[in-house]
Amino acid sequence: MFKKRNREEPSAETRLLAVDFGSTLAILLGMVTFALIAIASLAWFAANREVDSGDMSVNLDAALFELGVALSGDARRDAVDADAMTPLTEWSDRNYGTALETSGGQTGVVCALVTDDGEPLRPGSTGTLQFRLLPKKDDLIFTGQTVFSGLKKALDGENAIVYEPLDPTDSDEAKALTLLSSHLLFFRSAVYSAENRVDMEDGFQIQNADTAGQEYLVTFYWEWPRTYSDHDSYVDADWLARYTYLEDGEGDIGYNNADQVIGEYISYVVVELNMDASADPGADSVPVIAAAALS
Amino acid sequence: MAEHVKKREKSRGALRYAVLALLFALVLGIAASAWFYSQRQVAAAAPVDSPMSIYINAAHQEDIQYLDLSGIDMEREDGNGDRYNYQDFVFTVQGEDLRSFKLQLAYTTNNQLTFELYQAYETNAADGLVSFYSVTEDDTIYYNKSGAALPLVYLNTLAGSGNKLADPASQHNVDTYDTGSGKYGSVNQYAEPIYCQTASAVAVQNQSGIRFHNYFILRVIWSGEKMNDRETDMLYIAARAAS
Repeated sequence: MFKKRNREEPSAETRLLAVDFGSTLAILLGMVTFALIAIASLAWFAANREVDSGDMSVNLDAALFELGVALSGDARRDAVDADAMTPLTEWSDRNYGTALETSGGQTGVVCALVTDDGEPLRPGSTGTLQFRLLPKKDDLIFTGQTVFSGLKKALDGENAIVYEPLDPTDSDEAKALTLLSSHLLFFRSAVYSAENRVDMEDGFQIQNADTAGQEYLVTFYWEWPRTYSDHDSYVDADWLARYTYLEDGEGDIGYNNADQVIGEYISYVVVELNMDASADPGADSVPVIAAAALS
Repeated sequence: MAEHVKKREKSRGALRYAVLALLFALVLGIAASAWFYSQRQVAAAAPVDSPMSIYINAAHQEDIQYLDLSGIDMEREDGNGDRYNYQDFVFTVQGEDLRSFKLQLAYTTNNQLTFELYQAYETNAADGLVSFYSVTEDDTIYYNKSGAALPLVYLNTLAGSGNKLADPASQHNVDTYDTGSGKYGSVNQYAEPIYCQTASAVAVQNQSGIRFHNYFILRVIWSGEKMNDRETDMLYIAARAAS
C-alpha cells in the first residue's frame, strides 16, 4: 500500500496525508496482529492442547510433522470400543478425527492404550502406548506433554449406554483425573524403574526422529502399580507431594483406595499427548524417548 | 515551510516506529503461527475395569430380609403320603457393571443337608415351581428352574462322603447323629463347614444398562436322618464377581 502511493510521486501535501494515513493503518495493523496473537495465545494456554484453525486461518501446508496410529492401523485401535471412539473423535474442543493419520484440520489421532493382557485397565495392568511420527523436515526436535482425561459412562434413557468426556469442573471427576495421573506411570523402556520413569505431565523429548520422510515409531511403556509399595519405588518425594492423597495424610491406604475412585468415575482413560516440533532443542531438561525408524 | 518539514520529520518518525511495530508483529505472527501449525495430538484410550457392585437379594429383587430359609419341614408330605425330600427357595443376585460371577456356599453340617443351585426365571402360576409372595407387588410371583443344577466344586470334600459332609470320624462329633443316646449337649462341637462354589462363572442376565439381575433357586435336600428336632444349620450364600 505504501509502495504504490510512493511510486506515484504525489505532492508534498498528499504525501503527508498518505503518510499520516499509512502510519495510522500500520499501527492499527500492528495492534490487530498483536490482538490476534494475544487472543490466540491465550486461547491456546487456556485450552493447552488445541490448534485453533478458525481465528488464524492456518496454512495447512506448514505442518512440520504428522502423527499416526501405530503399525497395523485399525487393529491397533481395536481395543478402543466403537462406542467410546465416537465421543473421542467428536470431542467438541478437540480435533481428533477418525483417520489414522493427522492432516489438515484433523490435528489429532485416537489410538488404543494397549494392555498386555488384553483386559481392561486395572491396578496391576501393564502395556504400551505407541504412535507413528512422520517428520516433514530434517533435524527437528520433538517435545511432548501429556494431559490425562477420560470418558465416563452415562445412561441415555433406560437402556443405552453413552460415553461423555469427564467434566474437570466437577470436583469428583477432577479428583479422579488427578489420581489417575499418579496411578498410571509411564516409562521409556519395558524395565519399570525410577530411572526410566517419564513424568508425562512435565514433558518429554523424542530423539532420533531426524530424517524428513522417514516414519518413526514412538513407544511408551506404562504400568498401573498394584499397590502403594510398588508405586513408591518408582517415584521421588517431589512427585509424591503433588498429589492430594498424600497431603491428606492417607499414605498407602489413600493410594490404594484411589484405585476405587478412578474406577468409579472413569470408564475410559484417555492419555492425550500434545506434540510440538521445533528446530531449537530448548533449555528444559526432560526425559528423552528414542524413536525407532520404521522400514 | 520549516514547520511543514518539522511536521513531516515527526510523521516519518512515527512511520518508522509503526513500520517497525508492524514488522515485529509480523515476525511474531509468523513465529507464533509456525508454532501453532506444528502442534499435533495423540489420544490413547483404554477402558477401565470399573469396580462393579454385586449383592444378593430375595426373589423379585426384593430386600434381603424377605429371603427366609426358616421353616423347613422335613416331615412334610405330599397328597400321597410321601415325604418331600427337598424345599426350594428363590433369591436374586444383582448388581452393576459385571459380566459374570460365581456363587459360593458355606454351610454347617449339623443336619445332613445338601444344596443344589438352579438358574431360574419368573413365570406364571401354571408353570411355577416355587412361589414367592412379593411385598412390593402385593402378589404372588412364580419361578421355575432353567436347566440342570449348576455343578458345584467342593473345597473340602473327603473321598467317600457321598453327601458332602466333613469326615464324620474326625471332623465332627459322631454323637450329633446318635439319636438314641440323647447327647445333645455336645452337638456340633467339632463340625467343620463345607465350602463349595459353582464350577464355572454364571453370565449375568436381565441386563438393563449396566444393571443386571439373575434369579436362582436354592434347593435344600435332606437325606439320611430326617427329623425336625435337629439343631439349626447355617448356610452362607456368597456371590463373587468373576469378570
